[in-house]
Amino acid sequence: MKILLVVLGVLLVVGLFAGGKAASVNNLLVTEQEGFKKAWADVDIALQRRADLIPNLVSTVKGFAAQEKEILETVANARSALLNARTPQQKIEANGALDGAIGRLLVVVENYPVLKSSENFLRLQDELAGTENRIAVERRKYNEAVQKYNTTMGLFPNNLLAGMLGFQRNDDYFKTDPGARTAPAVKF
Amino acid sequence: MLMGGMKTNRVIGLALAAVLLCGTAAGADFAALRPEGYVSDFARVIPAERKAELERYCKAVEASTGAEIALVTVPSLEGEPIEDVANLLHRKWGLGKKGTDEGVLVLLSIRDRRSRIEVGYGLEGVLPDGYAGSLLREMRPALKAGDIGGAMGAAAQAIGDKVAAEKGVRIEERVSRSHQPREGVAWEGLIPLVVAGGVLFGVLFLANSGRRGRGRRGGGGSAGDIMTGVLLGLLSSPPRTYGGGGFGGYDSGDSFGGFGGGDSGGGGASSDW
Repeated sequence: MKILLVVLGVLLVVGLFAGGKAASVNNLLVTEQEGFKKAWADVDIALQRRADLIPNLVSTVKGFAAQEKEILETVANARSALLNARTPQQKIEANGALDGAIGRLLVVVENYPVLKSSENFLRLQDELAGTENRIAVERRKYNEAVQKYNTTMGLFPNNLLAGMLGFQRNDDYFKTDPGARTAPAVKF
Repeated sequence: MLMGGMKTNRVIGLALAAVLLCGTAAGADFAALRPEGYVSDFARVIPAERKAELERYCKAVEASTGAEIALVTVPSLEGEPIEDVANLLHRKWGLGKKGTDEGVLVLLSIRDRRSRIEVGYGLEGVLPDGYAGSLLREMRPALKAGDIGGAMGAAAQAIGDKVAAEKGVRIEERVSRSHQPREGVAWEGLIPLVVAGGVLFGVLFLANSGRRGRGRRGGGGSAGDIMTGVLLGLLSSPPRTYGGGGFGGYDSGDSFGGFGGGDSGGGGASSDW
């Protein structure tokens, strides 16, 4: 009888401890999950901002170089692809495609000195470069948040509890490509 | 007479100590840089008088609008993109109040001739990237002429005006229009260096003549006084509080309380000259 009570007592203590630990791990992981979701929302805003600039860019270039139909169309298509992308992975890819298209457009613009040096276009370029920089910054913050979450999840004993609580690793990292980032932004 | 000599030497020692301390800022590790005030002239290219004026102006901007401006020069970017360095400093230093994020960083890298205005989240609406870009383009002539202080002043003034107009307030302080620093300002900046050089020369000369055995006793004593002065100067100069976390002491009279913990998402523009 006495032994039974002791065993029950021990089980109760262990149970309370495990339950408390599970609750705190759960809360920590939920907080960090919210952290990277918020960070992703900021990346999304930066991507959206960039997409919003494209029509302005296209119409400005059209005013000086209407014959560059093909490249303007490529840019417009890349923009709609970005707007139609749904998952983070899709958006990351679509953004890369838009990078390439804008880069080629800016190379073409080199042939139009009047356009290239107009204050309107210079400001547009600043906005474009600024948006690219914003994407880079938010992307870095997002990666940091995801990494923090994955690290927390992988640590003992969280790794045992996380699976039971239904948390999963997040592998939607942005593969940062430093070259792609500076290429279209700087060479004007 | 002896007492008077000691006093002068001690003053010289203090000046030398100050020069020694000033020369130890700047380094390649940008994350380790701490703000020296609103103006952090790590490249040592802004004349003292201009710097004090810019400090006063930025302080007035913060007092009336709440926006925090940091004016920063570095000798070189050490191969880093200026966007990364600016964002790092902006976030590490926490320009702008936490939550409102109304901070602006003007960064000039002297050797690379690169410039950037980094705008915190809270001012992105007031200072769009295109506007930041034209400000940088307007700074070009002054920068090309080597007038870093003048270019910084013009940028700070334009930013201050824009923010004040947005908030519907007036900033009492103004940055003086003269872009070229007045004659004599540069000389004022050189005085401590000249004094320090003179003292060093004197010490070496006296020590040398002492060793050759034909020095006068008085001369040896005065060299000793100078060394005592240097030591005293080092000991009695205010401690440099570069404490981790808190942004501590700034030593130019005006109190600088540190920035407010604001954040930046990489807004603004970059240029060169």
